[in-house]
Amino acid sequence: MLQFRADYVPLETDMPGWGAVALLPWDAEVFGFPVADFRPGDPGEIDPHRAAFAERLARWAGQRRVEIIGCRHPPSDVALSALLDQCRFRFVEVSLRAELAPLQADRLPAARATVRLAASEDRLPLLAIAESAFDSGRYHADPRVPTALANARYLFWLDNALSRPGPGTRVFALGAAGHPIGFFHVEIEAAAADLRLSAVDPAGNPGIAGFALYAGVLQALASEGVRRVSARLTATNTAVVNLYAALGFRFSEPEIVRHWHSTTAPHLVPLEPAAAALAQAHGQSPAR
Amino acid sequence: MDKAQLVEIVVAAVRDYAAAAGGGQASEVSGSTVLFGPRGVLDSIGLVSVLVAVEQELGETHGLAISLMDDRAMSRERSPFRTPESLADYVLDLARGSGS
Repeated sequence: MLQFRADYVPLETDMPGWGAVALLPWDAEVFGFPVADFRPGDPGEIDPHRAAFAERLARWAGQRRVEIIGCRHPPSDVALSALLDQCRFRFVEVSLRAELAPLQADRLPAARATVRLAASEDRLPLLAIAESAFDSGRYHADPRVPTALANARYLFWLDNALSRPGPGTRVFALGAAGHPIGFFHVEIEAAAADLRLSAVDPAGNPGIAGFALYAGVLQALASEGVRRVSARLTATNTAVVNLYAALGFRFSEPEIVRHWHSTTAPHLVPLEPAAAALAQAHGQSPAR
Repeated sequence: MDKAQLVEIVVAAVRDYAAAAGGGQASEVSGSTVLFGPRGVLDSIGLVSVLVAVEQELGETHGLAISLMDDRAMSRERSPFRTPESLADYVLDLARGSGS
């Protein structure tokens, strides 16, 4: 059984103020190599021991063959931001929390299209959408992570939601049974819903599928008694940010997401091609 | 109502939206302007807004009650929302009862 709980331990027992680390078993299972998360401690306690901290982090990762360590922090913490940069945690993306509360059906746009719980005949087409529809998110934004691995993560994510649902798991599908053109994975607890993952088929999207999917899902959640809806989304995906804004969501808790990469990372894109990809993305010649 | 009138309605709705959104391309919108996609003048929210405006105009001024954003539109192999002209064709199909 896949473990979705991360067990954080102090990076250095004698220096609990440095922060805590945990292996992420779900990402490790998809990627085929260990992945971890770091919860930073007090920059005031790390900074005087910066070299020792960086060495301890690399040793911890090396002992476990960890190739990526993720880390999040508020953009306002510039001291921590500078410190993490110096310790090789590279900027990847900014994420935002979106919240709609109270959720009121009469304030939502009408559901114009069929949004229903996914059925068994939707499974394969939905997995195909999950594997092909995404181009944002922290692993897609990291030029060191092969795109195939980033895609596989979303395929695995949806497969897990479909095959091992918990009592609050809902996977909604947009479109006719057996021919869905979009999905939304939601976790419900009490009267609160966490919008986890959504996508529409990029090949079959006439432009309104995203709006129809979101409106339909929110209507379905409201009819189920959900009163509060939240999500965490990538700030760079402005189409989705605008969609949330149009539906009345408010945004808060911006977070900078960073990745530390092992210097010996056999599964990651080598530094040079990654730099070339970055330069190409910014319209520059890699040779410059 | 003929296709030319429908194209005018769509173009007007796109121009209104573009002008309200502060876009500088409002006057350049024509029947063949790409509405949505990599070279489109609208994002998904813009497209939804334009479709709602077109629905309202058709209903209030021309007595034509149709839904442009339903399963029929999304099940089409080619998006009916590519250009104002293709959208006008789609409205005509719906008005004739052959939009499925």
